[in-house]
Amino acid sequence: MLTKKYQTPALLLVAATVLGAMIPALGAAQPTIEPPAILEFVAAEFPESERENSEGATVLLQIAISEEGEVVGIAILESAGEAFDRSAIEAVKQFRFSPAKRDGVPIPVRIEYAYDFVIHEEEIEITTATILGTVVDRNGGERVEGAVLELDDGTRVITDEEGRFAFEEIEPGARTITISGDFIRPVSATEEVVAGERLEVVYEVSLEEEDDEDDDLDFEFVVTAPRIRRQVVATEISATEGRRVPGTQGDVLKVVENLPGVARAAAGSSALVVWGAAPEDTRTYVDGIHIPRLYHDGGFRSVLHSDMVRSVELIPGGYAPPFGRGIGGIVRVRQRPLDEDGFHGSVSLDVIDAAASIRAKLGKKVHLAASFRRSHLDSVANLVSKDDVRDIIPIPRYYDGQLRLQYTLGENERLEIGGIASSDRIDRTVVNSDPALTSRDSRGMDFFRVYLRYEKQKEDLGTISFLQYYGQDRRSLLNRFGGVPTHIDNNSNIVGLRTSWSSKLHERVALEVGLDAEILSADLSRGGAVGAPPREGDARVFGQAPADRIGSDEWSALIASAGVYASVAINLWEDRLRILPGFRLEPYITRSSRAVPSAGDGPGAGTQRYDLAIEPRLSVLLKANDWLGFKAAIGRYHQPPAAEDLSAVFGTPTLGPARSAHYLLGANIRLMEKMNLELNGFYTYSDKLVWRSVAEQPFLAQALEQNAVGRSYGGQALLRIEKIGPFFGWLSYTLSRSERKDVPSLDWRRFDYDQTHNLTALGSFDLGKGFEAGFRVRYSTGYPRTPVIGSYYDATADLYQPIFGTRNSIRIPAFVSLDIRGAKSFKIGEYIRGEVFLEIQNLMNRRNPEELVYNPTYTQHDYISGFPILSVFGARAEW
Amino acid sequence: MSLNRIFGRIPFLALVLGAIGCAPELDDRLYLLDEPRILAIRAEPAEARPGETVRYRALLAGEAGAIDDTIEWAFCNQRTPLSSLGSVHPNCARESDPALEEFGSASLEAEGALPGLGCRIFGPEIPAPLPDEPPGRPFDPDGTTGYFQPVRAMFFVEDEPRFAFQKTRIFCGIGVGSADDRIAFNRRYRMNTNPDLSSVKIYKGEDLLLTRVLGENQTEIPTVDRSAALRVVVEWPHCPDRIDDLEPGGCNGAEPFIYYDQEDLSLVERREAMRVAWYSTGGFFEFDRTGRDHGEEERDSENLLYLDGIEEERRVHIYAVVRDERGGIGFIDAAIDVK
Repeated sequence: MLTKKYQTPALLLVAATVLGAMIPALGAAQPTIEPPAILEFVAAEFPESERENSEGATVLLQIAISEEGEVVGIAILESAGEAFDRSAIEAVKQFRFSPAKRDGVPIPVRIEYAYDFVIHEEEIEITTATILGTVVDRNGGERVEGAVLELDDGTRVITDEEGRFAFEEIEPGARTITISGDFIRPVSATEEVVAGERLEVVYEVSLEEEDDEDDDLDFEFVVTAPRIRRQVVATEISATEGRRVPGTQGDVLKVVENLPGVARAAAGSSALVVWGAAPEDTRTYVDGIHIPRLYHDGGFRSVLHSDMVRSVELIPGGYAPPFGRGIGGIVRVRQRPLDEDGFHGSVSLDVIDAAASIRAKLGKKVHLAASFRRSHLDSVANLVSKDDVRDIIPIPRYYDGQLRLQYTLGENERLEIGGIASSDRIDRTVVNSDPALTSRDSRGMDFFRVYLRYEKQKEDLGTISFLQYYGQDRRSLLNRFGGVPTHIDNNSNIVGLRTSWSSKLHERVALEVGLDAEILSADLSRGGAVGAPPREGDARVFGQAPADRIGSDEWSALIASAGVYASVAINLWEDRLRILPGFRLEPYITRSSRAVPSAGDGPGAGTQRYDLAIEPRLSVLLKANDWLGFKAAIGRYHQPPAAEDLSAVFGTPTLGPARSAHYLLGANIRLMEKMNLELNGFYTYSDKLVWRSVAEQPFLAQALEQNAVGRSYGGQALLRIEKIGPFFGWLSYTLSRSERKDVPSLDWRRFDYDQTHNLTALGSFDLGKGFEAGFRVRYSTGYPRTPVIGSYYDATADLYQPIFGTRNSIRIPAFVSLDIRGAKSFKIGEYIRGEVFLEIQNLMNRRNPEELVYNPTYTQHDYISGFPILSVFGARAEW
Repeated sequence: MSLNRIFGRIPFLALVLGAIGCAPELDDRLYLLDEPRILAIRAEPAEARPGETVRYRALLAGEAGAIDDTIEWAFCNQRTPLSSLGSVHPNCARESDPALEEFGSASLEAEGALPGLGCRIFGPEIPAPLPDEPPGRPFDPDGTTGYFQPVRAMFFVEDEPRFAFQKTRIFCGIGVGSADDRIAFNRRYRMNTNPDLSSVKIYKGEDLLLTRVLGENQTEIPTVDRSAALRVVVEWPHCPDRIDDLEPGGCNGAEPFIYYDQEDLSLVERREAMRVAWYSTGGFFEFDRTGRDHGEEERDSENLLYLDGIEEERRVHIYAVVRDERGGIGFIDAAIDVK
């Protein structure tokens, strides 16, 4: 290894000029002169003060040498600076010479001597290794300061305020590190370190409660390998951080709405629009389990209790091979590790809902966690209003719950069974003096998942995991608007299997292979107008009654696929370059029970198709230096059709998967120790997208066509301040354009969810003594809408109908909002910690347009505005 | 009731639940005749087969009452795409288009023969598929298993075209259900007859101010003051409860009829729902629309007309248009003087 060293070399420039005694001899008869020679050389120290700024120097000296060859005098003839001069004199004083001789007789002489200070590079063999790392609290991800790490040779280091530590110049081989501290029971881990290399580790530990006296219990901890970051563009927020973000009302998962790449959803909407993709194109996973939605109806709450969440990560595109079946982004929720001693829990209450959770250790190896939440917004509405507001306003009623039971099989090996359940209901009826115009809206969405998970972390820091889950999704919709009834019932059974194995093949190569399979079997029925509910691309205005032509269908569908994937992580150039090629091969089976609409009582013939999705993916991460990194990714993705689209009456039973390609390019810039700037550009292109046929006489059982194409492109920036003093926050901005071509021969049009600008700035201050204050500022472009340029009167239906202009050629005005949050935490007794918070949204009381509406004759228009000023207060206690 | 009105009553709710949104105040007074509008188009007969002749009569009214104007009539022969929520193809809402087949341009009334391909374009019949091509999709029926031929009526207001469409119910059988169902339907189905509003009565409190009977001229115009609130009641004839009891010429009230229920996959007999649209040239109605549902046996519908918004003495024209569930239309009018 070539290492730069600062040294004083044994480079002598001896001007063997004999002075003094030699000079008088010059005029005599030719005597024999023998100059002095160095017998002992002493290297001068390169002055410490000059190491940084100097590349070397030369000091010219005059040295007086006695007849004995000793240095008896030194004079500076040409100085190189005080430091160099002093160092040179100190070294020369220790020189020993053979005396100069004249005709064989020793004589004293003076010579000139130039001492060169130079920087040498020399190749040296490094025989030691370095371990760098961070100790973090598993519960919430806080860095642990003051943890004591002791190497097996007795070397001890203590983590700094950032939880960092370093063992430098240690002997290579298997080294055992013991971690201890005031609130950490001693635990140890063994690391294999290689000479000349630097190993980076993250140790996750669980902190004891200060007053925990049960010292006999096993204390588990997990050593994680250096994270091989597979997602090129991903933003992960810890639960601790997410709770404090204004606008989330303490709901960790609602923080996703504030991340770059996510369009602002309309008020009252639970849609998640990522990088211009349709909401249904983005999938949500809870530790690998696919769930159908992240938020309850209305977007007030997520479907998972925050106490069960460790972190949430948004991957807007270009994700790794373990995931598929979606052409949009991915939301990954990581559940809280179950490793705490004792009994913990929380209760919370605010105007929206009430919730409770518990976590307990049962015996030495069993952990239990459970949570439950139920909304009471409808009850609050009834309490504070004279009218039955629920009949007018769609107030969601929901509940959700989780149950987890974990058994520790051994060190870093565990088995878990659990379940997730969620239910939503909306019912309202708007009575009209004309019974035909009495409107009814009844919606429901229930789902549950039960799962079995096995995980083992191997000694080489690889993992083996197995996950199987089963669940049901039940959607129901019953509408009656404008005298036309619509109903949809979808009962789906889902079986998922996910298993993976990863290992380190070589010091610089890691491999992960796995299987990700999912089978969805659905029984569906639907009645009403083909265009109700409307889908993206339909020309419509808000509140427009569905067409009065109706149909009906009952069908079943099976959509199954098994994705086999492999992903390799290659670390090069001292881990500065990471290349992550991957591959996913996924055959799809799509089956529908009816190929054509049923004719009378006759049996229906089904249809089935097979598709093979080949999905190469590649990510590259380059760390140019300590503060600058680059990244790039490309990938191919497929998404199967929705079971609801496989109807012979309302859809097309022969639909296949849609396709998309993602291209990403970005950079990470570390501006300060805890301030990072992330810049990303993206381009996605999708084809085989499904849209409603515009043909006047479509073919039978082809109400939907699959030849639309779409593209999204833009850039996003995230300036994130992790925690500087009492402050954390981020500034995110996304500039994007999302377009569709319903037919390839048409021009591009704006996608319904296109949002050009999206800016979010938020921050939270820890004011001390339990007080917190936060703010959030949001600006976003309004969604596109199709203008109404005229109308006609349907005298039979007694209804005005709009005449549309160019599709999606106007926009709803921009949204601007300032939200603030204040919180106070305190202790109740010895064990309970309480918190009260107050959030005020839209502090400026701005009338933010949310939707474009027209009067019944389409001669006037205005905007439905979002909330004026909204106060939400709540309280929480945990122990 | 608009959300604004709700929030006005419960400000705290607006504070706490405002995330749901606030609706703007838009002019939604459909009843107010402040410019020329077609209020109704009546086809006679109300239901016919393709090729049969139908006579159309439009009710056109403005702020001064009924208007006698020129209307350009045309059949619209282009099917509405599935992606459109509209009643007719946008090409038909034009002054001229190949999709339009003109049949009259004279007055409020016109007569024309229904296009012969009505059941193919707007009905259950599908053209024979071409080789290697799947068959086409039949037109979806409405909730009464009915199919309709659109008819465009165009008139001008200050040189700007205004469009209204009547959808003539055409008898094509039903395109859904089993063969037995189709046969049974054709055997039992009775063509629709237009409803009539046999009378309109206007009350002030308990006092009956006016009774206007259909087919008779209004000889007396009552005078009321501007602070009055009038109760306006319209009636339609009684019809038997069962199809088999209908007279051969049908019934001008809420008729029983048979349709194919696509949810239950069976033929169902029920009474027509009746809807009444209210219009006036002054004051304001409590409701734009009233009506009776299938299960209601009452043969009348009423509304309240408030006159306190009228600032000067004038005559106020009142129109009521009744629509049965199968597309039949009838109307009646009355006038009062406001002092």
